[in-house]
Amino acid sequence: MLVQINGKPLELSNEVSLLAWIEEQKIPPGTAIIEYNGEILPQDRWKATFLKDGDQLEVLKFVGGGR
Amino acid sequence: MFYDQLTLWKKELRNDSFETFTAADVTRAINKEHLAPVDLLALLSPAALPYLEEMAQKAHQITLQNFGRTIQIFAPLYVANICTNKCVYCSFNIENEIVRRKLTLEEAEREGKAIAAKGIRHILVLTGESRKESGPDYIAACVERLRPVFSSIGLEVYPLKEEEYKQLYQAGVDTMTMFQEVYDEGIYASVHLGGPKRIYRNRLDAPERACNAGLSGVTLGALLGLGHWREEAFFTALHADFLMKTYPGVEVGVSAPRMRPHVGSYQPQWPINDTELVQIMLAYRLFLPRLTITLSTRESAPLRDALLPLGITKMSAGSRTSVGGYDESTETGSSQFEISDERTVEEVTKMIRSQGYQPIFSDWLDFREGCRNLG
Amino acid sequence: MEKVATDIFKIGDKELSSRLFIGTGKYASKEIVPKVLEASSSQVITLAIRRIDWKNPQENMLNYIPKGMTLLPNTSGARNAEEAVRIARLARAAGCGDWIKIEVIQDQRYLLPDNYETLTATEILVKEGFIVLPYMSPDLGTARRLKDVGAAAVMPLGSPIGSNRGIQTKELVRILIEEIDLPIIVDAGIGRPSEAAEALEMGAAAVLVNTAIATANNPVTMASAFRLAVESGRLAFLAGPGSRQQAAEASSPLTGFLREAE
Repeated sequence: MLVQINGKPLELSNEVSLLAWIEEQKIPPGTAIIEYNGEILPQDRWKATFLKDGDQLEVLKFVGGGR
Repeated sequence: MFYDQLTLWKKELRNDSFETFTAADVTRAINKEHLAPVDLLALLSPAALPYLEEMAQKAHQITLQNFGRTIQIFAPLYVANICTNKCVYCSFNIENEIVRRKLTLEEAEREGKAIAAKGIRHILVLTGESRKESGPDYIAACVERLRPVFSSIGLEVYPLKEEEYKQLYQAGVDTMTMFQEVYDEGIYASVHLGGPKRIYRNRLDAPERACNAGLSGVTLGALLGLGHWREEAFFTALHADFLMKTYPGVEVGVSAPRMRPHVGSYQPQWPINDTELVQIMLAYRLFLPRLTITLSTRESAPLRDALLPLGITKMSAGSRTSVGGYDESTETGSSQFEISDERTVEEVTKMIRSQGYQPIFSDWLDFREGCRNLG
Repeated sequence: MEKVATDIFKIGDKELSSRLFIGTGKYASKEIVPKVLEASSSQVITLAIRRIDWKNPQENMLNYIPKGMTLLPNTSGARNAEEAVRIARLARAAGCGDWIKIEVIQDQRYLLPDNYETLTATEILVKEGFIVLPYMSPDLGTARRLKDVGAAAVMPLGSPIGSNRGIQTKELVRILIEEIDLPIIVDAGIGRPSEAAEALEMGAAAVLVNTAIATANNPVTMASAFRLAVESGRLAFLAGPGSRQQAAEASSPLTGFLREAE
């Protein structure tokens, strides 16, 4: 199955929950923000959400900013 | 609402507050570009007395900066003097035996034309407080008769409801004048002995209702002589400042009316002399550079001439304070107070020109539908 | 000094004693950020949101900000109201509070904000319960409208972002301070501590500084300098500076008539 993550295509071989996938990427779950198919997905729903073909994902974090 | 600010300041001010200011406070206030209320207090304090000339120079300079060498001319038109109030300082007091009159619409129009014939284009329509005799519908009808010959019509009548201000705005009124008379609530109660005017808040809040209704100008004033003048002047300026901040689209002005001889025996409890009047006007100007300041024919011709360069922006001329006082064929009612400067419009404008100022008869164009010629 | 001891100001429901807001961008290394924050005594910190860096997935600015700070995420990158609203919602989803600094910029040459889009975004986000601090060009009409739609503060720019040119918009900012009954926080352009002091002397509620500290040779020392300057400027404002004497002008007396009358 093919998903889009941060604008780039990614081929996943087996079904995986969002939480498992985030952990697999070594992203500390408390620090990331996920927009799933255009909607903000609260962290408590990551576990029950399984990635499927065609999903669009934005994975974001805080960076330095100010001006 | 302004009442909240007034209440806060009332708590802050003590009897001796004005005595606490020093010469340094006054010079600091004079040299400041943007004054705070505490600077205004300093300028109204006894400590400012030796600095009147410095205040006058600054007032003159900032008035030139903001208004140029111009003086707006207007005249009052009393359409009715029937009144239900008992104000101890006013000839229209219900208890006074005076000639009561209310102009018919034809007479109002004739009076208007007589005023317009002198070149006047800004007019102030006045009545006594009688909703029965001179209610909003009557005033609106008068205004509609006057619209064709005036470019600005101001209202100086009893406090109205917001809808009534809207109605009169529709009829062609641009501005309103509402003298609180006295900001001290205790004194207010003691000089307004009967009638609807007794309700302090209804009068105090009226300018805010008028602004909400869309009027483009408001003039305030305390009747000097009724209360402690330093405090009264302070609250007048604070009221103006509040309206300017709350309604940035509205032109806010003040007048500094001193009590004049009238029918009845009441004498001012806090009479003020010329020097004190000057101090008040200068303090107003320094505190609020964009404030319009009106000087009426209550003051004498020589004093008006001398006050002109100190920050005045509007003057009445050729005024009559009696109902039907302009057109010779109109039957005349009693006047509200005695006029001091009795010069004609022509004489006043000549004096203004001789001081190097331009008299302005109309600085305003009303684009409301169906409104007046552009004279 | 009583007045000074209790000199706090309020934004939203938070009471703040430090009038120096710090931005966390443009630092040579993130490790220096906590030291800068400590030296500045700041309580409000701005940050931005970006996509995760897959080469360094653990990296997150939050790791460098001590607990107890108020986070002020900005909407940098937004070119219109819609994008700003989207970024604000994402920031809140991270669970770091509901403060948001609206920053909508279309102009990439001067990085000047788009007041119209900023106002639109502010109105939407206030309704969603955000504490909104809009960054704007100092325009009185816009500031009034921002207040009307419920902004918690107004952040006028001193000069273009990153320019370090000081408060070029001084007169316009002064008018906002005088007319707008909200904390006015001067944002962008403050390049030196003396300029921060000037803003506070004028009556600004606070300043936001980033580039000037981040690009100093010694950012930590510069953060201390800004802390002192902001305190000094605020004290001067509270003390009420003496007036500058105006040049005396010889002119004919205007009040002579009062003496003649006596």
